[in-house]
Amino acid sequence: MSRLPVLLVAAVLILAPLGVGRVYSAYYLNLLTWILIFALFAAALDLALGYGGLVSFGHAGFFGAGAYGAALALRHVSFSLWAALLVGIAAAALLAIVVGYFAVHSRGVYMAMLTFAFAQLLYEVAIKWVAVTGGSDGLPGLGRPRVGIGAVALDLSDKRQMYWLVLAFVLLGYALARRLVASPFGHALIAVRESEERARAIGIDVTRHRRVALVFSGALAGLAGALFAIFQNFVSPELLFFALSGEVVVIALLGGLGTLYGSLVGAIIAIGLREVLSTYTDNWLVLLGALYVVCVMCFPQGLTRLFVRAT
Amino acid sequence: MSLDAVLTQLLMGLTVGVNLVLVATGLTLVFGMMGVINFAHSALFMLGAYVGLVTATRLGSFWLGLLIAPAVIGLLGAATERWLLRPLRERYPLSHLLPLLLTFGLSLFFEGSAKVIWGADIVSLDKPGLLGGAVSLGRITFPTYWLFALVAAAVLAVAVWLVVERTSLGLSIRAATQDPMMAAVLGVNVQRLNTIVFALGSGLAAAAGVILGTMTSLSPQMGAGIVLDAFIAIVIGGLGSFTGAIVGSLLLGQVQSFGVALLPAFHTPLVFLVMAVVLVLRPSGLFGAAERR
Repeated sequence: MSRLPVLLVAAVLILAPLGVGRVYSAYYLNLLTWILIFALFAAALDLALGYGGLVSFGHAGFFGAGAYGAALALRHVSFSLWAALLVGIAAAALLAIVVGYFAVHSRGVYMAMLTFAFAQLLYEVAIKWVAVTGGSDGLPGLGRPRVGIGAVALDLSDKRQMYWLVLAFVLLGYALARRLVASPFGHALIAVRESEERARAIGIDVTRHRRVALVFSGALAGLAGALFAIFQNFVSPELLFFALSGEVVVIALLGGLGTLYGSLVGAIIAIGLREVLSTYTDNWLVLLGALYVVCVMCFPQGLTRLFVRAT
Repeated sequence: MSLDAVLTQLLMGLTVGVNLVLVATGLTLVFGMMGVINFAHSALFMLGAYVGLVTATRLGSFWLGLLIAPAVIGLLGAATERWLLRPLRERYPLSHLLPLLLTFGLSLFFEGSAKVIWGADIVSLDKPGLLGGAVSLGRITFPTYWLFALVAAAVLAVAVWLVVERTSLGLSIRAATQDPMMAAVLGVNVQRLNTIVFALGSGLAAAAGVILGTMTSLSPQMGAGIVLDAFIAIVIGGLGSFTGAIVGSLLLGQVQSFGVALLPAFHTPLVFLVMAVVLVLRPSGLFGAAERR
C-alpha cells in the first residue's frame, strides 16, 4: 500500500476525538477505541495466520494473558502504565513460547485445536484460581495509572486522552508488525508458509521460524490485551474464552489475511457494525450472520484486497 | 465409588457418548469429504430441537417430532451445501478458512433466526408419558428417558455405521474421504455425494437435538456445548475418521461422566487435558492419517 492512504487514515484516527460532542457522542469514541484494540489484536493474529500459516484458534489466550498480566501488575507490582504493559506483553510472550513448543509441530486444524486447548485451560485457571484472578467475577476497578513526565500527564479517565494513548500504542504495534513482515525474517516466514519443503531445502529452520512468529504474534496480542484491560478498567475470564479466539479469526478473515491493514477494516465491520446494529434492532444477529455470508460469497479474499495486494 | 455408582456412571457416560456419536458423525464426515469444519453444526442441532418441539406440540406427538425434525434439517443442510458451500468450493478449492467463515456466519444467522421466531427464552419439550419415571436394571435404577436416549441414539448410530461400512453408498463415501479426485475418476458423483453427506450429518444432529433437547431444555445457544464436545471427540479420534468419531465420542462420554462424579470442580479442564495429551502424543488423533491435509 502506498504511503498516502495510510497517512490519511492515521490522520483521521488522530483527529477523531475532536468531533466528540460536535458530530458524534463520546459513545462512538469509546467504540472506536475498542475497534482499534481489536484491530491490533487481529493484526497480531494475521502475523501468525496470514504470514506464517500458523492456524491459531487460541489467540484469546495471549490476549487474556496480556490483560490479566497488566491487571495483576497494576494490583501487585507497580501502579504504572509501563509496568502493566510490560508485564502483560511478557506474560503473553511467555505463554506463546510454551504453546509454540507443543503446537508448531502440528498443522492446520490440529494446530487450531491444540492452541484452543491451551487457551481453554487458561480460561479454566482464571475461573478456578479465585484468590489471584477473582474467579468468574474477574478483577474490577483496576484504576487509571498516571502517565506522564513531571507535571505533564495524561488523564486516562478522560475518554479522549484514553483514546489517544491507545491509538499511539496501536500505531506503534502496526509499525512493528510492518517492519517484521518486511524484514528478512518476514520473507523467510512467508517462504515457510508457501512451501515448508522448499524453505527447508534452502536452509530455513522451519520450526524455529514458526515458533518465533508465534512469540511475536502472541506478544502483540498481549499488548492489545493489556491495553484492553486498562481501557476497560476491568478484566474477566471472558477475555480468555474461545468465542474471542473465534471473533478475532473472523475479524482477520473479513479484512483479508496477509495484509495487516485488513484487520482494521474487519474490526470496524465485526465490532462496529455489531454494536451499531444492536442499538437499532433486536434482530441484529440475523443481519450480521447474513452479512458474513454475503462477504464470503462476494469478497472471499477479504474486503481489503479490493484495494491492497497481499504478500 | 460403589459398584452400583460405577455402573450408573458408565451407563450415563454411554448415553452421552452415543448421542455425541450422532453429532460427531456429521462433523467428521463433512470434514473428511470436503475439508470443511462446519461451524453451523451447533445451529443445525439447535434448529432440529426447535422443529421437533414445534411439530411435537402442533401434532401432539413427540414421535412425529422426532421423525420430522431430522428430515426438515436434513433438507436445510442439503440446501446449504448445494447453494453456498459448493459454489465456494468450486471457486476456491484450496481454502479451508473461507468455509469456516461462511458456516460461522450461517450459525449466527440461524441462531438469530431462532431468537426472532421462538424468542431467546429457555423452553422445554415435554417427554412422552410412557418415558417418564425410572426403570430398574438389575442392581441399579435408571431414568426411563435416559434409557430411551441411549437406545434410540445407539440404534441410529448403528444404522449409520451399517450404511457407511456395508452399503455401496458408504463405499463411495469412504472412497471420497480417502481421495475425492480418484473417487470421481472411478465414476462416483462426488458433488452429489457431498450434498447427501451434508444432509445426513445435519439430520443426525437434528435427531440428537430432539433427543437431548427433551432431556434438558431448549435455547438458541443450546448447541454450543455439545457440538464443542463432539468436535473435541473427533479431534481425539482423528478428523475425518468415522471410526475415530465413534471411539472419541464414547471415550469423551465416559471422561465426562466420571469426571463429573469424581472431580466435580475439574471436569471441564479434564476434557481439554485429554485432548491436549492425545494431540501432543499423536498429532493427528487416534485414528487420523498423519499429515492428511
